[in-house]
Amino acid sequence: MNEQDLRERYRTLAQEKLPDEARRRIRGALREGQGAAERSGSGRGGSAWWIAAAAVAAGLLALALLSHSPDTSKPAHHPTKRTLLAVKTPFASIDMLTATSGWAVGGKGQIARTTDGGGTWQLVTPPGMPQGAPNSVLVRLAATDPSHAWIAVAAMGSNFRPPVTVYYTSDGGAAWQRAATGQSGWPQMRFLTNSTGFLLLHEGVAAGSEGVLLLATSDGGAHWTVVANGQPTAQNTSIIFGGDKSGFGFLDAQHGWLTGNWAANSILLYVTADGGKTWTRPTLPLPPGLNADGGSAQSEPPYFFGTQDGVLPVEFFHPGQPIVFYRTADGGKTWRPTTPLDGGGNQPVYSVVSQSVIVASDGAKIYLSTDGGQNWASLQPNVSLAGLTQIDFTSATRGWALVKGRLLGTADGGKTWTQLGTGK
Amino acid sequence: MTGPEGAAHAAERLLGTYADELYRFARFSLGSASEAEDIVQEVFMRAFSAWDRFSGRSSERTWLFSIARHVIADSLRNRRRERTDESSDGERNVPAPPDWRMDLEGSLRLLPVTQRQVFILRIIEDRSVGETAALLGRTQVWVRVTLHRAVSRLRSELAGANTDFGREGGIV
Repeated sequence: MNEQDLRERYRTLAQEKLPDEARRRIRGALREGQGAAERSGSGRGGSAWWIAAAAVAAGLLALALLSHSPDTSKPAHHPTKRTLLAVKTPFASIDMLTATSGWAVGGKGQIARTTDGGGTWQLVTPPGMPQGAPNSVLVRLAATDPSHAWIAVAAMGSNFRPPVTVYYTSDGGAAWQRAATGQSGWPQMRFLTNSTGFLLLHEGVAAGSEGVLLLATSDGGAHWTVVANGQPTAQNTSIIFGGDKSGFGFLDAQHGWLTGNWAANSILLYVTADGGKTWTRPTLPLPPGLNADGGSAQSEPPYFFGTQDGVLPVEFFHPGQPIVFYRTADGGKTWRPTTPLDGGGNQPVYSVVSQSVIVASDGAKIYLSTDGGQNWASLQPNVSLAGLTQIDFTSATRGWALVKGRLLGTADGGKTWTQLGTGK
Repeated sequence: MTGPEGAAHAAERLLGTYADELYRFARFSLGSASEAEDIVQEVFMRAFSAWDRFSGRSSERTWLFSIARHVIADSLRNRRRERTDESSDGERNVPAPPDWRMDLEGSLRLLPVTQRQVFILRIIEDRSVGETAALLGRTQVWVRVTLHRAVSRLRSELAGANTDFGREGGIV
């Protein structure tokens, strides 16, 4: 979809006009302000006119603020039970853990799991969990095994920073517990073990910077504490407010990375060695021939394998939309770029399977590297993957793809794809 | 054109010329039609009061959008402050799912405000990269990058939804 297609799609919104009643009201307020200025004799933009205008505006803003009803409910968590059902749904995202086991989020925010490689899915959505289309309810899923999964849910409602609730299960979704985090934002979630996990909540309202909160749990999601505050408050001196964040990753409970994009001519990366309490900003070397001018490079959350090996994807907004996979072999102390993968104008989606195996696709071809991104081989899939939004591989041959909500599977590295998830 | 009388005529002219696009900018930035009306009023009140100080170094549109960006940012800060004063519980704070959930305007809520504003000016208002950069006070590179990210995010977030982005995606 190019920009012209989008303009066609969104054309109706360009017809919206300020309602006549509001226009009349504004004219009235302007006349009132003018009258106040004339009565005061202050003339050209004098203080009385300014006070009159400000008073009208302040009143309007106060009315707008009063129209919000505060939420005074308390954080809580309680167990729920449900029966497993078959599911037939478009998919929003998948998380395959092995060749057979995985979890998925449906297009309406449903939660499902599979134990047969994606052939069939069972709905295990927690009872009472807010559901809805992706622009009304944000649902983020993390899983460590077929039994343990966590769902961070933020129901937008009228909020730009929706409150975040976490649901978690230890029996494959037969029963769920619920915990209110007490915090708000657009969530991203990662779990390192069945007890240790992190939540990054995006504020998303600044220009060139973005407030974030990092929360951690050490009891499997029952309780969450704020470990890093990247919000622009007078008391806060954290450096992590700078830049728009794309996500985060942790090697262990102490060592973590925040990724994203900023206007400086460098790749944004924040590092913590104390579980998120303090952060530093290392410098990543730029690949030959690529630059980060004006925010044209964006780091993405890193992947770790064992205690030393890791992969950090960096996208470049240059012609060809290349992506570079940085590698570390010393636990993230140093990162070295590999060979840029050119998506031919479409930023590739990717799946980092291991320190050596990376699979990517731009929707036209499948790209495979078996040496951590140094060399790439490409192949032509048997079906069009136009509209591809995610690929997830558990080996160099076994993989899944989401194409416009449809789930496809391959067992030969992406040459042959068949449709999956059509339900029981 | 100076003094209250001159400013009044100028405000009337500016209102006729720019009110609709400022309204759309505020409405789609904030996701609220009623707040957008208040924002437009605030913009014109501030513009009227500062008319004598408007030097003409920028275009009227750039000047008004500069005011609008600040008023919108103030409004968002007030919302944020309000949220931090509240205790949180997801379900209780959620109104019944509205009908807008999958319409075009609703889809803009998936974007952070900066991306949303670039999307509004580039896609909905069909402004050039240069004009968008000027109206937002940013560089053209930033506008291109931010629009790319906005479009990618919309595609990604709406991939599984029954929208134009994923209409062919039904499994059943």
